[in-house]
Amino acid sequence: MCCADTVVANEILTYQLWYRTIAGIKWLFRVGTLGASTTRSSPITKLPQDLVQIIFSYFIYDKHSLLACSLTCYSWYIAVVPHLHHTLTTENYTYFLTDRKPLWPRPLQKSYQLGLLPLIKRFRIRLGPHDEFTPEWLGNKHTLRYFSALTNLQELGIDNLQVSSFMPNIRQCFGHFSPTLRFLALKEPRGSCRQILYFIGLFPNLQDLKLNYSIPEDEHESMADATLVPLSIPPLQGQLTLTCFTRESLMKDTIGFFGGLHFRHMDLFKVKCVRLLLDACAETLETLRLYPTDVYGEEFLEIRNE
Amino acid sequence: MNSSKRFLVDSHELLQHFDLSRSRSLRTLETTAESIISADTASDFLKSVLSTIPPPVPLDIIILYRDRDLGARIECKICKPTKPVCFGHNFPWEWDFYAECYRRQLKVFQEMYSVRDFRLILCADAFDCVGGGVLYVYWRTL
Repeated sequence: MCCADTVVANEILTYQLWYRTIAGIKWLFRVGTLGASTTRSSPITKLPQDLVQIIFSYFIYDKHSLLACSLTCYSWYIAVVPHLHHTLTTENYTYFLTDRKPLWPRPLQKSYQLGLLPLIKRFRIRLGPHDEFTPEWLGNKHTLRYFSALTNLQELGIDNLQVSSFMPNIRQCFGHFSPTLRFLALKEPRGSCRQILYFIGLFPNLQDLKLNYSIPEDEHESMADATLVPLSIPPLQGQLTLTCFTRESLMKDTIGFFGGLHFRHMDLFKVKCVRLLLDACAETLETLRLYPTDVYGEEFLEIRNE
Repeated sequence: MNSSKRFLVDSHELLQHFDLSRSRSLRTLETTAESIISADTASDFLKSVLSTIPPPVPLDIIILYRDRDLGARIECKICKPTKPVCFGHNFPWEWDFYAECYRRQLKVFQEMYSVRDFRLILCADAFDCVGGGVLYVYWRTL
């Protein structure tokens, strides 16, 4: 019985080994087949790159999808990466923080280290209401180097820019944006008319201009740098957006130095010099955005009712 | 429409700010729905501006509706952070409020037609995912 048991046990072991070997061979084949399917090129990768870019442009605001696409394959990464790093916004609210400028220039530094700054087309520096963007924000030589690496910037937005504090070296800080910059958005810019005009004149290809103030203020213009002349005459043929803008003399200087205005679109909210702007752009204006709750509109209606 | 019945501005002095008679290439006037708060003020303002544009020029009037103009809650406390815009947690009286706003705006548009002809374009600047809510509000209004 013992020998018979041993023979049966050997037979079972042999069968087990046999079937395990067969299963192993089948598994290897299956894995091999799967491996072959992953290396086979997907039809999507055969799409022309232009077409792929058009498809991706439909969800350029969906960062999560863009990120997922960039991890799919190399051709998708190439198509997606300009959208993924198109915009850089630095939030620098220091209202609740004791340490001033805690975030600056970390986003710039990180992008610089990854070599992404040349990909950025839109750069926005957001500050708290009590902060001012002065040369000390760029004082560090490393920060200035990061700032200078934004070589393809088309849209620039800066809050609380103290133009006067950058004079007379403002060109050294912002001059490298000259060839590419098309859109300039300034929130609460400070400086004399000539200083701001000089800053705008640094960008000879500028098309769109946005000047936002939070409340309409009485015009008390500084006469600093009164002899300053802009270095170039930007075309300014795109959109002009003004909010709570009462600096009529700045607009008069702009019209005078740039030989008139040629904006095709205007968005005016609580603007004192509406008539001046409408007359200056009479030949080119195609779209005008007005607001019935505009204080100057209300004033106008009060006059009418009298 | 008979031009004699159209709105006329009596004094040219009143239009010192918003005189568009010199604008030769103006084709579009835009405004936001939220800026039409008072029907009388808005219609007076817009009628006055419209009256300065020479009649033969074809004109588009675009009214921009943002999410909050369409009854949306921005950063709804209940949905946060999954939905940036929410239509699902409004009280019934809020829909009635928005319907009243739309009636007021329709009145303004009707009065504007008394000044000159134009093409009215209502532009909903809303996400696709909240389109259902937008249609619901319009259905309630009409």
